[in-house]
Parts: sequence; structure tokens; C-alpha cells
Amino acid sequence: MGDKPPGFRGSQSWIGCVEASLCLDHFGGPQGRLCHVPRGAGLHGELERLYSHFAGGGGPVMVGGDADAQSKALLGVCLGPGTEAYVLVLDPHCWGAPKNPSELQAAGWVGWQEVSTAFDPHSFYNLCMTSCNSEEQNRALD
Amino acid sequence: MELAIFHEHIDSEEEKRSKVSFKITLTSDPRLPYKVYNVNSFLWLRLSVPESTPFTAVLKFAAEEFKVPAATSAIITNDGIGINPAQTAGNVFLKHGSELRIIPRDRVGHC
Repeated sequence: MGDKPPGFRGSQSWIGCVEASLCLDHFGGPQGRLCHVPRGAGLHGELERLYSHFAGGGGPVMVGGDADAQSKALLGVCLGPGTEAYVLVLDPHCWGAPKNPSELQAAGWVGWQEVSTAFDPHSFYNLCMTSCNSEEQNRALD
Repeated sequence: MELAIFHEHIDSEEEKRSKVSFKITLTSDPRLPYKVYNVNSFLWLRLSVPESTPFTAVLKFAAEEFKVPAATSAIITNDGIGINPAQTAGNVFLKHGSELRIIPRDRVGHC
């Protein structure tokens, strides 16, 4: 895509949600909007936005950070009374064809996690919120 | 609290016709305590460049002004669209307008 300098390919340099969103745009995939969560802010400030995203039919949310670079994707959010909140976290290393959802949960590939424990307060995060690109879908159907 | 970095230059009419302007906001500053974000504090700069300027240069300049590493920074629109720096400033202005923000690049997974 030309966004990286020569020599980047084949190096051990890292990429994350920013590059994922550029790839989605470059290769005609779903739209990926970026949301930056500053260090220490936590995800509580973005819960309403995440709720609106999923309630509106939004797709998985890719998550990347710095101090916390553990791969994860958000598939849902649950807002409880007060400050209680949970996110449905998928480990994207999951592969293969499970027989049923319970198998994924039992193996730990997907599960609900309390927001305060799922995210490191010492890390910033970028979220890449995917949503259907209706124009692309319409063209694909032609 | 609002801090702004201005770059004022009196352009000729011809210079004005061939330049594009951006307002770039820094959204993550490790120097600012977390509580500052609660009072809408931000750093931003306004710059004007020739249309043909590679956007990599805009990113590099903005990063240097904000004293953040250019190699680990990215520029996005205010509504979250990532901007590939491998295009001209004029192209970015046409597609995305002038209100942008600079964020740190994240990483996913471990090497």
C-alpha cells in the first residue's frame, strides 16, 4: 500500500489496528473506523459507543495497544447497573471448525470479561470498529 | 486548558491557490495527566502546505511539533478514518477535509 518505508516488509517491525483499517480500505473490505483510547482512560468512556456500534449491526472490533499488545477482538458489550460492564472477547488465534459455540467457550477462545480486568490501565488502545460497507456489498451483488 | 501551536505565514495570492490547510489535533499525550482529558484539554496545530506535498512530510512535521515519534504515529480523520500517508496533501484534503488528528500506532500480537 506504500504506507511503510522500504525494508519494512520482512522486518520484525509491528503493525496493528491502524494498518488493519488501511488494509480494509485498500482491499475493499468492511469499513474499519479507528478510535483511540488514551493511556489510563480505560474503556469505560467508550462503552456507550461500543454498545451503539454492536446494536447498530456493527462487526467485530479489533483491539491493539502498546503496553498490552495481546491480540483480542470484541464481539459484544454488556452494560450492567452502575459501572458494571463486560465485553465479549475473542482470541483471534482461534482456528479450525468448532462443533458448537460451547466448545469455543470451554476452550477459552471466547468469553465475557469484566472491562476493568480485560484492559491494562498502563496501555493505550486503538480500536478498529468494522461495519458493513453497503456500497461494496451492492456492487458485489451486481 | 487549551494549548495551540500556530504557524503564520503571509502567502501571496498564487501561494494561497496552491496550498491546503490542516488542523491536526494530538489526542494522546503521555505528558498530560489522565484527568486532563476530562476537561476537554487538547493540543493542536494548524499548518498550510503546497498541494503536492507528500503527506508523509505532513505527518513527520506534525509529529516533530508534538514531540512524538513520527515512525510510531498515524494521522486519522476526526471520525476515525485512517489516512495512508502515501499520497499528496492535496489528495488528503480533497478526500478527508482539514480536521485531522494524530494518534500513536498500536501493535497487535508479539514478535
